[in-house]
Formats: sequence, structure tokens, C-alpha cells
Amino acid sequence: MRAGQASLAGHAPAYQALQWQRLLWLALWAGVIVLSLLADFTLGPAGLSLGELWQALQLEGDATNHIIVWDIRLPYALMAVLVGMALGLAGAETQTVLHNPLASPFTLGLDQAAALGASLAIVLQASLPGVSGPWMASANAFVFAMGSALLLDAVARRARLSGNGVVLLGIAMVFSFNALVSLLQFVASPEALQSMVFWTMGSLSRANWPVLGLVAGALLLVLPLSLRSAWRLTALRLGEDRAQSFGIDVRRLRLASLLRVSLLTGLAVAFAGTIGFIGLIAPHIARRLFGEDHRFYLPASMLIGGAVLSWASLASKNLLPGVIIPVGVVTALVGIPFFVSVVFRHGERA
Amino acid sequence: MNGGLLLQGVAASYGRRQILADISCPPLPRGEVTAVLGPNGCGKSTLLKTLAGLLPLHGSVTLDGQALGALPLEARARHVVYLPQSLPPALHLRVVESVMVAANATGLGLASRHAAADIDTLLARLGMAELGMRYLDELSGGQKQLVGLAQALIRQPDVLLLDEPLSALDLNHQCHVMQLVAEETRRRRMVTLVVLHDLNIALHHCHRALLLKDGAVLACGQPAGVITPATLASVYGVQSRVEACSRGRLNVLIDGVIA
Repeated sequence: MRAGQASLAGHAPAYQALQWQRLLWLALWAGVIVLSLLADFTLGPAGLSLGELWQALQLEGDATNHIIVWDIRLPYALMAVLVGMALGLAGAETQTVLHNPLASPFTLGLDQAAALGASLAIVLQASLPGVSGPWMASANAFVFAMGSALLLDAVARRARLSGNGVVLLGIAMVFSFNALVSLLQFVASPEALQSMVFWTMGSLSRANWPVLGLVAGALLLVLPLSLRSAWRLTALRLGEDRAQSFGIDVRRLRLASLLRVSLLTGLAVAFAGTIGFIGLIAPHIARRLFGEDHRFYLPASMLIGGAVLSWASLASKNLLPGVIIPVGVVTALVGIPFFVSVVFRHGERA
Repeated sequence: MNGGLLLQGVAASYGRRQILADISCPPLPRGEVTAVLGPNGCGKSTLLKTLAGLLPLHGSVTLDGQALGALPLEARARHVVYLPQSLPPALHLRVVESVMVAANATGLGLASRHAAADIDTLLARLGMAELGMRYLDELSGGQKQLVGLAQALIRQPDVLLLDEPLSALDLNHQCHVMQLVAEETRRRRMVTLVVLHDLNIALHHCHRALLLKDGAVLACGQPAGVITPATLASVYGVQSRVEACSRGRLNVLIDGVIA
């Protein structure tokens, strides 16, 4: 490249073509989710043919199939997609606002905070005023995840921590919450201990239509807000000084983003327990395929998160005949090698 | 009256540590480039960050009579753009997009199709027309610095603040960028402040110079009046000569360090 010698390349048409290509990729990932849902219904010992599935969806044919599809398999499968979407989107925003590829709600301790909240409800029956019964654990999980995000933000602001400092603080919180959960496990009754396993391993078995409505509602609320901040979040990736010089209030942007993240994570963990690594994996795949223009990167992370958890859920039900492995175990088994590969890749750059 | 940027009693600090004290100088007119000079740690970057609103401002800064300090960050960013010293990070983001982000981050409102065309023109002027569809993480340091400059220019500011924009550029690009900055400053009637370490570039390409020492103004005015053996001895502790070459252009020659 020599200054002043290059001619006008005319990137506008190429850029328009790239936009269309990315939209096509988004549609493809949506297609991967649909395929996963179809596989979910047709595989396994109680698998239905596509014809039976179509009939059951229209409430025709065998009444047992209606119950299997509408009350068991559809909520379970959709829960995997929605929770995966929530964690994928939350992970993408977390990595952006903390400038760290290893940041995710899981590595910042939001999941563990939610598990602690749930454990308090299960073991000590401690919950918010006015909340009772099966909602106690979920309400606590949500409040603890949100509180943890706010605490993280407040300490980071007060101590003027960088993105890496926030991640280290998050890791400290992970260990603290894990220790407290272990303490509760130590004093828990055998019945309570069994319930707590649900939170620590992650499971989609609590899926039902009201819960699906809540998670879907949160996504419908958060996604437009995230997309509205897409340019600002992309600018933040260019560096804080640069983002501020474009007129962005970085602190406000970061706080709003962490609140969105804690809402999504809190709800996901409240109803599905601790499902790690989706928030880490999905943004990385999205970044490689779509780049870091957040107008595409955010919805892509969301769709990829939904697809990955959906396929993980499928694997958890079909790997061992007759046994449903907790889906959090499957995502951890896939996620840990991925996590290590990210560490090595960034180590090479440094 | 030409208007311009007027600094009166500008002060800035990091916590309790005062970095700048009582920075005042005659109005910096529109259409002119001012070199901000001084040794490391004298407050050059702090001055630019303060003018951009990234640090709290004490004192008065007016542009054509309008107080910039009274404007909130987003409103001020429509008038003032600061290009930080650091290079844009190695992101998986196309060059075209990284410049588009600068235009759209706070809603300057360039529609994407027009923005892409504007960016094409700008990238061509910067000599990097072929790089528009490349990713930032594929570029050299110098190329990234040019992208940073494109990000600043696409916002079409009234005041352009460039913090060491030449540090990663080869000789050809240093000259080219300074010519371009001077040209754009004149064409868009901006007030441009550029932090430089190369005194000859300041002499050749800038209309004015602002020389800082220990957070205060030592001299301000025409570069030839500011960059003198006496001021260089005082600020940098070097023995020097400022002599005209065979083409009549002034050049700084360093003879050694003052013992």
C-alpha cells in the first residue's frame, strides 16, 4: 500500500452483498434450530414420525401423542432453545462490555449466585416476601443473579477495575458462591440435597408453558434493547477512550448491558439450573462467522446459543438409552475443551 | 471574525494529582492545524482528553463563542472528536464497518448505503481504498492508525484532536497523513490539534504550535516562533539549531544533550 496511489475500490456493493450473506447465515442457524427440534421429536424410544408429529401439533390423531408433544416434549425442547438463546445473547454482551473473550455469565459467577439463591430457598426456606411454593427457588435464583451483577458493577466502578479486573473479581465470586452452596449442601437434608443437584447440574425438566412464556418474554424485551445499543457496543469493542470520544457514556452502557445480562441469566438459571459454557461458546462461533458488527453478532450469538443447547439437550436424551443425562453435564463436557482452546488461542496472540 | 477555539485557564487532574494548570492561549482559528508539543508526561494527551470531555474540565473552552464545557458528552462529541494514542484493537470487524461505527455510534445518522459510499471516498483519500473489506485483525499497526484517522474524519467534527497519529506510520504515510489533515482542516474549516514528537513535521505542516512544559504553556504561536533553540533547551534539555535548508524550509538539528 502506498499513500495516494490507490483508486476508489467501491466497497458499497460488496458491503451490501455481505449484509445479505449474513442475513442468510442467520436464517441458516434458525434452520439448524428447527432441524434440532424435529430430531428431538423423532429420535429416541418414544420418537414420533413426522406425520404423527404434524397430527399431534394440530391436536389430531392419537390423544396420547397430544400429551407427549404438547405437555412433555415441546416444552422441554423449546426450553432448551430459549434458555440457549438467553445464555448466548447474555454471553455475547458480557464479553463485549468486559473486553474479555473468557467472560460469560458463568465465569462471572452469575450462575453460581443464582444457584446459591435457589439453595437458600430449598434448604432454609428463605425467600422473598410473598413468594412461596415452587416459585421460591426460581425467584431467589433470579434476585441473586441480578444482585450479583449489580454488586460486580458497583465494586468495579468504585475500584475503577478494567475488564480483566472485573473477570478476576467474577472468578472470586464464583469460588465464594460455590463455597456457600457447598456449606448449604453440608447442612441440607437428603431431600433438599437432591433438589439442589438440579441447580448444580442444570436440567430442562422443569419446562412448562408459563415458564416458557417468561423466558420468551424476557428475550423479546431484551433483544430490541440490545440491538438498539448495537452500534454503541461495537464502538466499545474499539476501546473505551475511542467509544467515549464518539460521545458514548460507557458506564451507562455497561450498566444497562449488565442488567440485561442478569435478567436473561437470572431467568435461565432460575428455571434450568446452572448450564455453563453456552454463554462462552456461542459468542465465539458468532464472532468467527459474523464478525463483530453487533447488529449481526448479537442475534447470531442468540441463535447459535439456542442451536447448541438444543443439540446438547438432544444428546443428553439419546447418548445413553433410557437415561437423561443432565444437560449441564453435556455442555460442560463440550465446553471445557472449547474453553481451553480459547485460552490457548489468545495465549498465542499475547 | 474567523471564530475558533479559545482556551482560558484550562486545568485538569487525575484524582489529586494536577496535570494541567492554567492553560491559556490566543484563539486557534478554524482551518488551521496546531501542533501540541512537549516532553513525555507534560500533559499533551491530558489536554486533548480534557477538551474532548473525557476528563472533567476546569476553566473555559469556547468554540466560536459557544462554551464546550457546558455541553453533555454526546452533544460535545458532535463538535469535538478525539483520536486516542492507542491503535484500534485487532477485532474481527471489517474496516468499512469500523469506520461506520464511528459515524453511527451516537446517531450522526449516516444511512448505511451512503455511509459506505462516504467511507469509500474517505478511505481512498487516506490511500487505503483496497482495505475496506479487510478485517482489522489482518492490518498492520500503520494501517490501523489510518483506520483510526478515518474514524475521526467521518464524524465531520468542528474540532479534531489527534493524539500522536503518526507514531506507527512510515515516512511516506507520515507526510501523506499530515498533508491530508491540513487539507481536510482547511476544506472543512476545522480546528485541529495534533500531538507530535517530530518537531520538523510541526515546522513543515502546522500553522501554529503550543509548547507545554510541566502542565503549563511555555510558548504558543507560529511554529517558527515557538520551536527555537532556547525553548528546546528549556523543555527538552537539548542543544539545537533551527536552520533553513537549501529550499528555505526550517529544520531542527539536534547537537546533543545539555549536561
